[in-house]
Amino acid sequence: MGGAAAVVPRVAFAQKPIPRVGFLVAGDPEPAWSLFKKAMTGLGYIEGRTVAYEYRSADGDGSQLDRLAAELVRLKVDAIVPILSPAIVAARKATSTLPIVFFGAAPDIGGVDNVARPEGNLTGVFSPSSTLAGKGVQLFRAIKPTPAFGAIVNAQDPFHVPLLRDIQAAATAEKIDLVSALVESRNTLAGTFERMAEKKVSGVIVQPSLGLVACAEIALKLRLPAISFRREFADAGGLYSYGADPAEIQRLVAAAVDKVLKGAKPASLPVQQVTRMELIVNQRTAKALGLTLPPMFLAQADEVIE
Amino acid sequence: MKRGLFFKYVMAFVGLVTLVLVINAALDLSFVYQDNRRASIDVQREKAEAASQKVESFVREIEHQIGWVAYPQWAALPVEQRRFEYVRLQRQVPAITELTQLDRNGHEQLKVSRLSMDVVGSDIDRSAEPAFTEAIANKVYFGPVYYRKESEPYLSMAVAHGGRTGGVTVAEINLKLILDVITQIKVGKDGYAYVVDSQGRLIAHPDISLVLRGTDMNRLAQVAQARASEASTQQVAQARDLSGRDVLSAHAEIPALKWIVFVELPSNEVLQPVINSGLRDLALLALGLLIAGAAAAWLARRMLVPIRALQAGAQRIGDGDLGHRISIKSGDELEALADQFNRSAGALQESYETLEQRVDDRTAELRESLDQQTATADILHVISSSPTDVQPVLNAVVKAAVRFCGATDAVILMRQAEEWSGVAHEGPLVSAIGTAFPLNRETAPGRSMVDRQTVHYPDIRSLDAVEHASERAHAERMSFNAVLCAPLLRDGTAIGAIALRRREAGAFTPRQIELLESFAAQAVIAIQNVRLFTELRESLEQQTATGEILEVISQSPTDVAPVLTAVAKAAVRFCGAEDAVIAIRYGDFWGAVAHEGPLTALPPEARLPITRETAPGRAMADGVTAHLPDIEALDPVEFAAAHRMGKEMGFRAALGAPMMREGVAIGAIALRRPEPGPFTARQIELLEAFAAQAVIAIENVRLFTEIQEKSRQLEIASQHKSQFLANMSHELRTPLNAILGYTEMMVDGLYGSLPEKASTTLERVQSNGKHLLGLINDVLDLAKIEAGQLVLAVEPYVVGDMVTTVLSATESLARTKGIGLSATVAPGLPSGTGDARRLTQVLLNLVGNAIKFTDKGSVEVRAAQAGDTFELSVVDTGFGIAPEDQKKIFEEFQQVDNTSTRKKGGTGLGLSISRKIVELHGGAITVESEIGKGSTFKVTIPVHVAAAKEAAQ
Repeated sequence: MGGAAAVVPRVAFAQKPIPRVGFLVAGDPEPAWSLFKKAMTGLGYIEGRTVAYEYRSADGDGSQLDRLAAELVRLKVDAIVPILSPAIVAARKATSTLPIVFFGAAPDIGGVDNVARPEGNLTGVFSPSSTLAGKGVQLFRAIKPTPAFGAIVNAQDPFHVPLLRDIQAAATAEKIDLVSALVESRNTLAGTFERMAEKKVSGVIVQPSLGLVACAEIALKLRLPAISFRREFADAGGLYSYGADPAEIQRLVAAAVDKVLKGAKPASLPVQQVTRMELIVNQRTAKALGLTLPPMFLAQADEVIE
Repeated sequence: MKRGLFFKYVMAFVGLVTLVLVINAALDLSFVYQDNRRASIDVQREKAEAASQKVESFVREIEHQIGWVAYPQWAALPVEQRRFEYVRLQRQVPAITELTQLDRNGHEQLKVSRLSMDVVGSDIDRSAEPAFTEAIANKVYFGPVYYRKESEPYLSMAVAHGGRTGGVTVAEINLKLILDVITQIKVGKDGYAYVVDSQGRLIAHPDISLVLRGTDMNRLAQVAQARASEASTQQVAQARDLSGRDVLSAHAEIPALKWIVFVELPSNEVLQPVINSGLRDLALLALGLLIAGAAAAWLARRMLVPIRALQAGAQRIGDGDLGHRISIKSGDELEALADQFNRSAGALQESYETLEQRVDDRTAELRESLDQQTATADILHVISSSPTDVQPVLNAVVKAAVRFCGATDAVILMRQAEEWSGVAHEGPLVSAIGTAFPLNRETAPGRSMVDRQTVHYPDIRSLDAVEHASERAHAERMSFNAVLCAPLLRDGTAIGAIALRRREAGAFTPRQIELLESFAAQAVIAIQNVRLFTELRESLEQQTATGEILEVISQSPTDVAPVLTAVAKAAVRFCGAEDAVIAIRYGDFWGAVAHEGPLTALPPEARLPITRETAPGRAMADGVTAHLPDIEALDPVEFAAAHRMGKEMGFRAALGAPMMREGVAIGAIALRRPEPGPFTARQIELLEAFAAQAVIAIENVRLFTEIQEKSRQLEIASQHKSQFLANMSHELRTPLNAILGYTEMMVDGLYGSLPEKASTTLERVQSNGKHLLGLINDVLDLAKIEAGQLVLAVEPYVVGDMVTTVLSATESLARTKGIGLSATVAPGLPSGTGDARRLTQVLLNLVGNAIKFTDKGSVEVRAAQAGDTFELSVVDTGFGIAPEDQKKIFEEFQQVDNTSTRKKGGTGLGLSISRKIVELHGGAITVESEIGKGSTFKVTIPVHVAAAKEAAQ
C-alpha cells in the first residue's frame, strides 16, 4: 500500500512571450512618451520584463509615419498607440486587425463612428480640442485687443479641417478677423510664422501636430503671442496653453492598453473623453512680449510659469 | 486476489469511521456557512448604506459649493465678477463642466464652460425647463442623468438663488468623477459598488467602460427587483453580476436623486471561511481513515493467514500442479476444508492423464480431415474453373486420391458401352490408358461397375484364381497387390470407376474407402457439369441458327431464294456437315434450288424424277427422313441414282429430310459427305428442324404473294363499281329529269286541263319521280365520294342561315306529323368557311331522319361553338337506336333493321354520305341514343376549313 499523502501536481507554465506595445508619435514625442511609460509603470508593467516597447517617432516629418506604422505592423506588436491624428491615420492604414489605442481627434476626423461602441480594431482617448480652440481664442481677448488673429495648421493632418472650422466659428462670434495659414512641410514652418507675423495679427493659435516646441520657439523669436492646447507649448515659451492634462491623457491611454493586453477587444472599450482641462500660462513669455496679464485671466490659470 | 475478506473487513471498519466523521463535518460546515453568511449580509448592508451616503454626499457637496454663489444679490454683481466666481467654482469642483445663470424670468444671462466659449447675456428663454421651474419651486433640482456624445454621463443640478431677483444657477456635472468615490468603496477582497439611475442605466461603476457604453442594468435581477420595490429598505440577495458570477448583493437608494447604489461581493469570497473549515474537516477525515484502516488491517490479518494458505494451495492445484497438497494444522473447519481440497486434487490428477491421450488422437483425426477437406475444395475449384473439359478434373482427382488414400497409384476408368478403358492416371505403376477391357466381373473395375458397388481386394494373390483370373493377371503384370475400386454412378448407372492400387498387400482403412467414394462422386459431378455445359451450348447454337433464319424470312417476304440459301448455310454450320442441298418438288420431279458446300451440286435447271433411289427423292417419296450412311454398301439396283450421283459428285454418305406441308412433301433438304459413316442423332434432328423452317419460309412467300394479288384485284373491282355507279346514276337521272319536267308541265296545265283522276295520278307520278331522283342523287354523291371525285366548294357561310334554311325545308313535314320543330343557335357565332351546300345537305339529312323516326314529341336543332369548332346537334324524341346499331348506321346501305324503320323507306345512304362530307371537312359525326328515349346526332366541324380540300381516296 502506498503512502496516503496527496501529491499536488506541479504544472510547468510555458514562458509566455512578453507583450509588446508600439508607440507611434506625430508631433512632439515628449512629454507624451515619458508620461505613457510612467502610467504603464503605475499599472504594474515593468519595461523589459512584463512589457516591451517599440518606439517610433516621425520627429515632425509626417511623411515618415506610414513607413513607421507598417514597421510596427510587421513586428506584430500586441497594441499600437498612435499619438495625434496623422499617426492615427497611418496606423489605420497599416492594419485593420492589430488593436490600436490612440490619443487624438479620431472622432472629429471620422476615425470612430460611435464613441460608446467603437467598431473594428480602434479605441482610445480624445480631447475636444476643436471646441477648446474657441475657448482659447476667447481667453486671448481678455489679454489684449484682438482685431485679427492667426491660425497656423498642419496641412498633413486631417484634423486641421474641423479645427479651422471651429476657430473660424469662434472668431466670427467674437468679431475677429481670422488669418489662417497651412504648413505643407516642416521646412516651411519658420517661413509660415514669419509671413503670419507680417500680417499684423494680435496672436496666433498653433496645431499641436506641427511640433509644439519648435512652434513656441519660432513664435517667441518673432515676438508673436502664440497659444495652443498642450502644456509643453507653454513650457517651451508659448504664451499659454488651454487643453487636456497630458498626464491624464496618458493614464487613460495606458488603462486602455492594459485592457487590450489582457485580451479585451478594442470594440468593447468605449473611446474616452479627457475630463481635466488646464490653463497653463507662461508669465515670462508674457513679460518678454510686453503683455500685462489681467487678474481675471490669471485667476483662471491652473499654473503660471514664472 | 479479488475483493477478498481482507478488503471487506477493512472497508466495513473504515466505512463506519467515515460515516461518523462525515456527519460531524457536515454539521460543522453547515453552521460555519450560516454564521458566515449572516455576518456577510450584515456587512453588506452597512456597506451599501455607507456607499449611498458617500455618493449622496458627493452630490450634496457640489450643491453646497454652488450655494456659495446662490444668494439673492448675486445677480446684481457686474458680469466680470459673476464670471470670475463661476470660474472659481469650476476650479474648486472639477466635476462641474458648465455653469449657467438664469435670471428671475428664466432667461440665460451667463454661461461659463470648460469646453466651449463663454457666453454673456444671450438672454435665451429657458423658463419652461424643469431645471428652472423645479429649482424655483423646491430650491434645489436634480435632473435625470443624460449622456453627452452618447457616452459621458451628466447630471443637471439647479440651485435657486432665493429672493425676488435671485434667479437660478444651473450646473452640468460630469458624473465620471463619481468614479473616484465608487472605486474607494472597498467591500471584502473583490467586492465593488455601482450606481444606477431611476431608469436602471449605469451611472457609476469601477469599470468605466460599462458606464460609457450606457449599460442597461435592468437585465440583472437584483437591479430590476430594487427598482420595482417601493421601499428603500436594503435587502440582501443572492444574485449574479454582469459576467454571470454569483454575488451577494445589497443596495440602498438615494431618495433625492432616485439613484440606487449597489454593493456586491462574490459569493465564493463569502464561502472562503466555509471552505477553510471544510479543508480542516477533510484532514480530520483522512486521519480517522488512516487509524481505522490500520486497526482493521491488524484484526483482519489474524483471521486471514490460514485462509490465504488455503487459497494459495487451491490456486496451485488450479494452475495444474495436481501433485501439490495443502497443509493446514489449525484443527478447525479450515483444516477439514484443506483435506477435502487434497482429495479432489488426487481424483483430478487421475482423470487428467487419460484425457491427454484422447486429445492427441482427436487432433490427429482433425488434421487428416482438414487435409481431406482441402483436397475436396481443390477439386471443386478445378471443377468450377474447367466447365468444358473434364480431363483436368479427373487428373486432379487421381492426384488427390493418391495423396489422401495411402495408395501407390490411382486410375480413373470410363465405360463405353460394354467396355472400359483408363482416362486418368497418377502413380508409378504401369497404367492401361487407352486400352479397352471388356465389362465383366473378372476385374476389380469391371466388377465395381457391374455391381455398382465398391470393390476391395486387400490381397489379390489370395483371390480365387478362376473367378478373378483377369485381375490376378493384371496385378502380376503391373505389380500391385491390393486394389480398391469405387464405381462412378450417375442416375444409378455406372459410367466408370476410380481405382486405387498398392504394391504391398493390405487392407485400405474405412476412412480411405469413404474418401475414395467421395472422390468418385466428385468425378461424376465434373463429368456431369461438362455434359450439361456442352448440351447448353449446343441448344444455344441451335436457337441462334433458328433465329437467324427467322430473321432472313422476315426480311425476305416475297423471295424464297435468300431464305433457302440461309437454311442451307445454317444446316452446314450447325449440323457439322460439309455440304447441304435444298431440293424442291416440281410435280413428279425435283430440282436443286440452294446449295452450300464444296461438293458439286445439280445445276438449278436439272430435274430428277421423284424416286426412292436418292436420299432427297426417298425423303420426298416416303415423307420421312432418309439416312444413307454408306452409299457404296447399298443395293446398286435399288439405289442406282444414289450410286451414280455419289460417284459423279464425290459423296459416300447422305441424309435427306422432307419438307412437309399439309402432309405433302414440297421438297427436301439433304446433307452429303465424301466419307462413309452414319450421321449422328443430333444432326438428323437439326436437319429436320431446318426442313420445317424452309417450309415456313416457302409458305410465307406463297401467302404473301397471294394476298398481294387478291388485294390488287379487290381494288380494281371497287373502282369499277364506283365508276359504274357514277355513270349509271347519271344515265338514270337524265331521262328521269325529262319525265319529271313533262309531268310538271302537264300538272301545271300547259297541255290543257286534265280530268281530276288523271291529275291525281300525275301528282303521284311526280311525287314518286322526285323520290326516285333523290335516291339517284344520293347514289351519285356516294359514288362520287367513293371514286374520289367529290370536291368541296369552300366559301364563307353563316350557321344561323344554314339552320333557318333547313328548318324552313322540313317545317311542313314536321307539321304534317304533328311534332314540334325548333332551333337554338348560340348568339355571337362567327361566320365559318366550308362547303355550305354540302353542310346544309348533312343537316337536312339529320333533321329529315329525326322527323322521320319520331312519331311524337319534338326535334330540336342546336348550334354552338366549342373552341375552333362548331357543334351542330339534332335532338329528337324518337325510337332511339340500340348501342350495337349505333356504329352500323354510318355504313353504306345500312339502316337500323326493324319493322318500324323499314316502313319509313330510304336508301340507307344518307348518314353514310353525311359522315363522308363531315370527314372531308375534317370533322366528325357521332350519335348518342337510348332505345325509346330518342337520339342526339352531333356534328363537329372546324370553323375554318382549308380551301379546296380534295376528296381523298
